[in-house]
Amino acid sequence: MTASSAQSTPAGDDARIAAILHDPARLGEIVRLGLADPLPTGSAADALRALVRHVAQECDAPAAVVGVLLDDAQHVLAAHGLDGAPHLAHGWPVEWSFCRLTLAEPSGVLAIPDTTRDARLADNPIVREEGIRAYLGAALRTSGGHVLGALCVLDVVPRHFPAEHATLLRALAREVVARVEGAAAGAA
Amino acid sequence: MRERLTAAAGASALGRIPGYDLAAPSDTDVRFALERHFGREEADDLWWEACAALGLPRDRRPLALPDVERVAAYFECQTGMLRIVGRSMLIRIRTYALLRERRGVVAAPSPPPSPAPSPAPSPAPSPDTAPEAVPPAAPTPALAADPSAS
Repeated sequence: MTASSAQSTPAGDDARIAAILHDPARLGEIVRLGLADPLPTGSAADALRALVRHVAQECDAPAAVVGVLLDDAQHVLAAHGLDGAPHLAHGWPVEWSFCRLTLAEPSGVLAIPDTTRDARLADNPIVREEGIRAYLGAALRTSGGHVLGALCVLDVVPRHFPAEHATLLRALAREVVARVEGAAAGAA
Repeated sequence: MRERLTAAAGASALGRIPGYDLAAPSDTDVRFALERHFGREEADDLWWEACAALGLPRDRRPLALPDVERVAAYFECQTGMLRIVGRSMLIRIRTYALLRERRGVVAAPSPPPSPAPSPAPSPAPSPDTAPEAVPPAAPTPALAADPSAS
């Protein structure tokens, strides 16, 4: 298990991320799975909330999010510890999203131990204005191979995440996808 | 950000949220997103269909932010890629409105919203209707003070 923590992005990564982000097949999968719909309710919502609460507690992080990457915004499917505008708007503009960086991660896991020292996030208001200082995210990869978004934990202090946190996040990201795909199959 | 990933590049600096460099989402942004997925011609048709359904004059541009929000909400209620476009734009619009309220930003001048009633589901009214300043509010952190309460 390796979690990338690169401090800069090759110039080509932004273009690659944009291409994946706007891939019609990926977005079609999001629609098919009902992830562009209003927030889930009932037992599906309870299960996702419990999952993000669990991952935040296990990683000793103040916040955890299941984020779905739409074309121009990150949609927060479930969150624990999130407040303010991101909570009330159920998301934020995609150019602020840390999770979109997982799209360029071959391992599917991205660790950013200090967001203020990462060149990719130098102008990011989530860092500058909202004070997020550390990130660990695992891609939500469907059985069809499309990345929907990421399950992530956020912290307001710089920190190194141990390998077991990356392992946990990866496992729970698979569980999120299984739940989402199972719900879509059940609804079909 | 080396490459702007979204459509808001042409927006005026007036009305941008300080520190966030976020401009009010516009009808240009929505049409840009439509064109990205459907091409120019179909995007035009979809735009005009939405305007007709909402009682908006089809060639009236720029639209006021509440009308842009109504169009986004209309698309969110459709199927397929339109739903993605609508949901994305609504998140951007609501983020902008919430941050503007929080930061007390003076909105860019814009035409008044259309008074026409909408047959489509209407989103909550946006505060972005007049160019007057909003009293600054205390910053709200992105993370809850008590995570267990969330």
